[in-house]
Amino acid sequence: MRTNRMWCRSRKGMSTVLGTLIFVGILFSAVVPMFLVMQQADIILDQEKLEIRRVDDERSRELMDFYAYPVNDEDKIELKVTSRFELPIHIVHLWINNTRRDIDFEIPPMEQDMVLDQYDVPTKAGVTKEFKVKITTDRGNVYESKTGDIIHDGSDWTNPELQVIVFVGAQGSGWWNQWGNYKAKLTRTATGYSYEQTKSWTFGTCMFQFDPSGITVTPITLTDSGPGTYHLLVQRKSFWGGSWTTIRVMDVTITWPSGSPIVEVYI
Amino acid sequence: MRRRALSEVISTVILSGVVLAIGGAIWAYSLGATTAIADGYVSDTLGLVDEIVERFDVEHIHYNLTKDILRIWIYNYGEVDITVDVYVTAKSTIEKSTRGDQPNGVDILSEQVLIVTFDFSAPADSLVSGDSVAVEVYSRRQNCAYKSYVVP
Repeated sequence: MRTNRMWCRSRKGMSTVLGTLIFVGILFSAVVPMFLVMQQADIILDQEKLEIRRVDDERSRELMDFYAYPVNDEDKIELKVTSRFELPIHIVHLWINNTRRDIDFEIPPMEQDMVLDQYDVPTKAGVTKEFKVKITTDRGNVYESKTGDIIHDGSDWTNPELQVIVFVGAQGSGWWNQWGNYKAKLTRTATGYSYEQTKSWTFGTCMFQFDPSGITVTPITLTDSGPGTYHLLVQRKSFWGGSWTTIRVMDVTITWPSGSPIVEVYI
Repeated sequence: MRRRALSEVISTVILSGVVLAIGGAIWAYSLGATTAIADGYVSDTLGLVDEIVERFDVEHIHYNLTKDILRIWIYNYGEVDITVDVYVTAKSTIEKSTRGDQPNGVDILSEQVLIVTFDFSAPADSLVSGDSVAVEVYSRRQNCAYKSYVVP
């Protein structure tokens, strides 16, 4: 009897050992690799999620000022950019109206006033044509020229209106600081010609907009004389009256045609 | 005693053989099943990766008033090729899409621009200055880009 029981245990033991080996074999040759592969796929997915989040973040933070302006006496425009982004910007497309050109420019981080190139534009004698210029980066952002539409009147380039826009915010938290009289005076440094505007009883924020056609000069003159600098003086008289108090004195520079014809000042 | 020993050896061999045969079959089935499951999972995950990383936008729209043709530039600035369907709604009533002419979608390679053109030359479709056009671009991975445009 003892012998039979021993044989029986032995037979069970052999099957158990084989079964265990098969189970362990299946575990290590099929199930474990499957989980490893699935885990690797999950890791790739997580990596791509992080990567695309970084790419989207870079795209949303990418910022530059783009200027397109005519080249004097030529049917060409010149492009200039100022990067306001801490990473390189790669420009891939140039749009002049509805025509796309593939271009390839790498703008270094925070690069100031980088002239890209000059491009022919199809002007026609006696025909006024407007040119909308914009560029596209490889991050998918599109930047329109801050100089606005460039107009050729059929014989020469025309000027945009030069403007200085002064935004004055509330000068304190109390309601009496929200109201007041504001005066802004813009004086051209070179000639002394000045413009003055006054806003009264303005709540919160007021805006002065100088449209100084008198100081608008042709692009040729501006190019010859360099950037135009203006002296800005902003004063405030409180809600209760009294004398004018200076709240800001500063110089404003209009760099058209190689910069925006409109300068905004926030006070 | 000798016969019994022999039968016990044979039965052990038979039992072991049965265990090996069944175990081998289960092993083979498990190997195939887990491989198929892993392949499917990886394929789905990589498809999800493509869906996540694809990026495109409507870069430019232009309506030619003399030829009554609407042109749409779609820029695929992502890392994967895409297939898109373009839907246009003009004046809130005129609807056009690429599904009719290109039921399999419009392919745009990575970092490439594709121009999609719609014909508005039919008298009822013709647009005039000031008309609005809404452009929707759907990728086959169900991402979307939208842009509105006013005929200048």
